[in-house]
Amino acid sequence: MAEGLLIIGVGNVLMGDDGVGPRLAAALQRNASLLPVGTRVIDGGTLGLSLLAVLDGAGKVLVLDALDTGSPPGTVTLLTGPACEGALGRPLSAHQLAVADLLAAARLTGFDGGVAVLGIQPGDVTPGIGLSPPVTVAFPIAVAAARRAAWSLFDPAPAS
Amino acid sequence: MTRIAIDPVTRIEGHLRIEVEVEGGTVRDAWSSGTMFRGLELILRERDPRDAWVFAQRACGVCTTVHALASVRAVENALGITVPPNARRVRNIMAAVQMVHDHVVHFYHLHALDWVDVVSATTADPARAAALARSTSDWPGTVEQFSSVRDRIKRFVDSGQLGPFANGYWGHPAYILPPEANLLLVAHYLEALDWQRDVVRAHAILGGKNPHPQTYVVGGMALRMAPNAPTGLNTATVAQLGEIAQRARAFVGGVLLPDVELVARSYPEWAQLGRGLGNYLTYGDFPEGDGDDPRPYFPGGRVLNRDLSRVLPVDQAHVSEHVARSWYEGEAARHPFDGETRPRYEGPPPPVESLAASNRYSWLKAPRYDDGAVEVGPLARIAVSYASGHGDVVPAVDALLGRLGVGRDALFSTMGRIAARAVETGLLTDRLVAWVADLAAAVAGDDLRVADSTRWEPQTWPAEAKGWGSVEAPRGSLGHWIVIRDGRIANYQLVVPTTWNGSPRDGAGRRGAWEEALVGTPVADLRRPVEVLRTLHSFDPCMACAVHVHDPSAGAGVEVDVI
Repeated sequence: MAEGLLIIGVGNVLMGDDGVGPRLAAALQRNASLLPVGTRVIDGGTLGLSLLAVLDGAGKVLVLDALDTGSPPGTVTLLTGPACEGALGRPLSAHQLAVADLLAAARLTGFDGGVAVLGIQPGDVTPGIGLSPPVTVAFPIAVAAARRAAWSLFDPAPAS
Repeated sequence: MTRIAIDPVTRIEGHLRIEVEVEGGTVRDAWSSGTMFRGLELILRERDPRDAWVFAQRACGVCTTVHALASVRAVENALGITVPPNARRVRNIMAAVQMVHDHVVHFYHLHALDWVDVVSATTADPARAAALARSTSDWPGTVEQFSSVRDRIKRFVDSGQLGPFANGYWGHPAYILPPEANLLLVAHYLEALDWQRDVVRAHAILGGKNPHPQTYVVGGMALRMAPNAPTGLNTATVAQLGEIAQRARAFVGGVLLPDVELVARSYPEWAQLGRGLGNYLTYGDFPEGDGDDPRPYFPGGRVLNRDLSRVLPVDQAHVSEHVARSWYEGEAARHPFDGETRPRYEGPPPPVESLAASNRYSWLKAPRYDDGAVEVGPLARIAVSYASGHGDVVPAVDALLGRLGVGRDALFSTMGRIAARAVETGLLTDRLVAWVADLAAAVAGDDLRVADSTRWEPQTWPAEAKGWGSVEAPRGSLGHWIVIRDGRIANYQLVVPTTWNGSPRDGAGRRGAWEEALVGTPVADLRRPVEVLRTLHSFDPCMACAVHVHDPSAGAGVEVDVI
C-alpha cells in the first residue's frame, strides 16, 4: 500500500465557520507545490463512510476541521499522537461522529497509519456562507500550520 | 409512566431527538424533534438558479447527488428544458449507484448492530459460522476467514477503541441471534466496508470528482461522451461501470439479500411491530423514457390504509407544510412555492430535559399530502410498485414473503421496511447492469448529446418561472421547489424524506410517521431502549439531511436519560 499523506478538510460550507475545513483544503490545494510530493488534498464535506474510498492508499491522515476546544474563536490547535482520534470521538468537532467512525472503519479494514487533527475554533456556525472575522483573521495562520503539520507528518524528524 | 429521551439517535451523523413515553413496558406516545435549524432556503435566495445544485448538494452529508439532481430537475422544470436521453441514462446510473450504496451501508453499518451483537460474535465457533454461511448463500466464507474476523473483532473490542461498535446495548436480551449468526453478519459488515469503496468508484467516473460530483448541469450533464474521448464517458470507462455493476449485483445477491432474510427469519415478531401510519407516498423515479413519457422504473403514487389493491395518484400541488408545532413563525400550512422559512425558537432553554410538553417542539416542518401524514422511503416505493402490478417487484416480494412464510401484511412493519429496502436494492442492481449496457450502446451510437443548452442564457427565460424537481432518494421522496424571478432565485424550498418521516405533529395534532410507528413498541429495559432504535433506524433517518449536525453540548453517542 502506498504511504502518501492524505489531507482531508471536513465541514459544511453552508454553515459559516463550520466550512473552515473544506476552505483550508482548497487553500492548500491552490498551492499544492508547497506540500510534500504525493500529498493528496480532499474536500470531504460532511460525507461519512463514503470517504473510506479516498483513504485507500493513505499512509497518514491530516484532518482539518472546526474544533470546539473552548478557546477564543480563531484559535488553531494541532492534535497529534494516539490520543487525537479519541479527541474526535469526544464532542470537540462538529463532525465527531462522522470522522471518528470513518477512522474507526478505516482501522477495521486495515489502515494503520498516523492521524493528526488541525482544528480551528469556530465563532459562528449558523446557516450562511463565509467565515466570521476572527476565523478569517486566523485563516492564514491555520494554512501555514497545516503545511507545517503536513511536512512534520511526512518526515518524522523535520529540520527545526 | 416514564419518559425516555434518545439524543442523538443516528450512529454516523445527525442530530435528532426522540422522546417516547413508556407505560407498562410499551411505548404509549412519541415526539420526534429535529434539533437544528436548516437554512439552505435562505442561503439560496437571490442566487443564480443554475448554481443552486452546487449549494444544494452540500445540504446533506450523505446524500449529495440526490440534492444536486433534485435541484437541476427543479430548474429544468421551471424553464421547460427536456434533458437528452444520455443525460437521463447517466443520471439514473448515478442515482441507482447512490441508492444501492446507501442501502447496503444502511443495513450493515447503520442498522445491523440493532440486531447483531458484536460482543457475542467474539465467542462464535468459526467452523459453525462457515457452515451457516454455506447454508444461506454460495458467497465464499471459509473457516479461516471467520476465524480471522473473530480475532480481529476481539482485538478491536479488547482495545477499548470500539468506534462504530461503541454505544451498542451488547448483551441486551432483545439480541437473540446465536454467536455464529452474529459472527457471519459482522464478517459481512467488514466486507461491506470494502465493497462500498468499489461501488462509489462509479461516481468518480461519472461525477468527474470524488467525493462531490461535479458533472451535473442545468440541461443535462457536463461530461464528454464519445467512444474514444480521453476522459468522461468512453468505451473503457463504460466497461469499468459494467464491471462495477456486476460486482454490485453479485454482492447484493450473495450477501445482502441472504443476510436480511436471516435477520427477518430470526426476529419474526418485528414483522408485527412498528406498523406506523399505513399511508405511503412516492413521486416515482428512474425514468426509462424521455420528455412527456418518462416511464419511471419505480412508479409514483400513493397507497392508503395498507390497501395494496389500489394506487392513488400523486401530484405535488397537494403537498403542504405545516408549522403549527414547529419553531417557525405562523400557523398556516403552505405549499412549498409559497413556503416561508422564518425561524422562531420557542423551546425550553438548553440543556433540554423534555420537549414533549412544548406546543412547538421541532425545527422540522410537518409535510402533509391532502392534509394527511404519509410515510416515504423504500417501503412506500415497494408498496406502490406492488399495488401497481410492477413486473419485477410483485414476484420479488411474493417470493420473499413465501420463503419467510408470512403474508403481505408483514410488509407494513419494522422488518417490512428492512425487507423492502433489500428487495429494492436487489432489483436496482439488476437494473443497473441493464442501464449500463444501454449506456454502452449509446456511447457507440450516433446521438452523443448529453445536455440541452438552448435555455442556458437568462435572456431566454421568462421574467418569472416556477418549477419543482423530485428524486426518489434512498431514504424516500425528495422535492425541491424553485421560484425564479428576473433570472434570480426568489424562493427555494426543500421537502426532504426525513422531514416527511420525522415530522412533528401538524396543526390538527396528527403524528408524523416515526412518531406513529413507535407507538406500541415494547421496551424491556428503560435504560437500554434498543427496541425504539430498531423501529426508528428501519426508516434510515438522516438528520444531516433535514437538519445540520452541530451540537457541541451533545455526547458522542446515544445518551439515554430516564426522566
